[in-house]
Amino acid sequence: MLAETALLTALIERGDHWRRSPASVGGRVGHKEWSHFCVFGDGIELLLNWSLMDDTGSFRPRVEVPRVTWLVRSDAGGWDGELEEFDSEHVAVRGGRIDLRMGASELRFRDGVYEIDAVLGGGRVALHLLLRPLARPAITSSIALGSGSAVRWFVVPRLEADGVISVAGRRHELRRAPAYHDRDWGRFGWGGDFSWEWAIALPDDRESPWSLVFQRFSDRHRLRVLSQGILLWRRGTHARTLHSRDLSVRSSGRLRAAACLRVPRVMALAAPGSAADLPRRIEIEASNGGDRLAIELELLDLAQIVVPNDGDVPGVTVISEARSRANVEGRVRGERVSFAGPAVVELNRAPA
Amino acid sequence: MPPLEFAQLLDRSLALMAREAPRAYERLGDAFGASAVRLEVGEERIAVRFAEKRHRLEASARGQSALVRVDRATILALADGELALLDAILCERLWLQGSVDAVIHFDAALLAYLDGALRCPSFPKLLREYHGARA
Repeated sequence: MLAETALLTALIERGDHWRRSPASVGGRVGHKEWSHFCVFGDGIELLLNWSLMDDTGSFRPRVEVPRVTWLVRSDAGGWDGELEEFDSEHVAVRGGRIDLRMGASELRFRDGVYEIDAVLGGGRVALHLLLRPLARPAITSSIALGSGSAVRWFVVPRLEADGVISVAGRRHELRRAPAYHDRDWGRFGWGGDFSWEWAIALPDDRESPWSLVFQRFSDRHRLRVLSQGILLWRRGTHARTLHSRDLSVRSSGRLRAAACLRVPRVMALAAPGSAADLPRRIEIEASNGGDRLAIELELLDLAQIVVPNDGDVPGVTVISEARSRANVEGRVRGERVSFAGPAVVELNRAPA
Repeated sequence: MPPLEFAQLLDRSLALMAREAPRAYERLGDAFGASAVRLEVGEERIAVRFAEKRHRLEASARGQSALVRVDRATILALADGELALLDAILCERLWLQGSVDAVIHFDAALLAYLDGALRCPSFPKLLREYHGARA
């Protein structure tokens, strides 16, 4: 057990670090990078994303704009969230390190545990969390997103979170709550010829050994799939990857979310769509050899992050974060896979 | 520092856009075309139009124009995402009046304005000043 913990720590330290934009040392502009956490508590869910992005949507490109994007949903208060941008004097990020500080939020990785302290939204949300990785990370090969653009990601599919999230003065204590973490980086522009669907599914049952990540990249109009796959973990280790040709994906229903939270909030005016092209359900069938998986994702409600397109592309890109439930059934390497639990489905697409 | 008047917000945001997002500013001018928008925000009365690729704020508008009547609280509710534009119209917190062409021009100009404003790094600070918060 100690050896496994040491291995996990070493793998994370080696892979989960800030790459930084080449433009910060005189190279090309266009780098995007973020460190992303999802936490599923009892009656509360949190998405927290620290990013450094080269912003080419304005006249003079800005290099490594530091932002914290946070979304929290509680049964009592619904969705809240903001996209907060910081001046460089309030930011500490070093290339090659995991740790960061942006404004009143801080991430540290110590002794194999992520530690997050943050005060968000001018104090509406405060949190202190310890997140212990339970599964070995994976790192993807570069995924092409159209001409000259690509993204890579590093994923820690399953963690358990302990700590407190306070929302509008109401404390939510977390004990071994399921959690997820990834880091994405690459060179691409919002509004480019790509879209994506991405999902994580974790079991309600803490003793269940399974966790799963699904991703599908398509062209902007979603007519052509560029890459898709499922990664499945059993206990701490990667159990199976099913690739593009193994998957069949079907969407159905409509998620009615006309009045959903959008951040930055003024973006609700710029992207007034009713999210009419968002599905209520995504079903994924995957099989290869004797292995097969059937995944049902039911999207419950959502919040949206809206970003202006980069370069000279007018309009905005909408990233929908849908609180979801997953049901997964199948058989992999002779063993039955069966779990249900919380999920997040992220949809990146042009507004309807 | 007292909050900005709406005319100050509009004029300064358009000047920002011309400087920080000039292509978006050009698209806004194209969306306006030869039309104008008259704005009544509380006691303020202004009209905005484009001439020779530059915006002009005037006391009144000649020719075809849409009229928007709204109050400061509604503008802030819209900017804070607490109220959707359609809901503001349906519950009569925002009045929009004009010929079909004028209203279509207004819709295109509003979207172009927002698209441009969001590309201006200084816009959030300006919006906070209109809010009356410390920038």
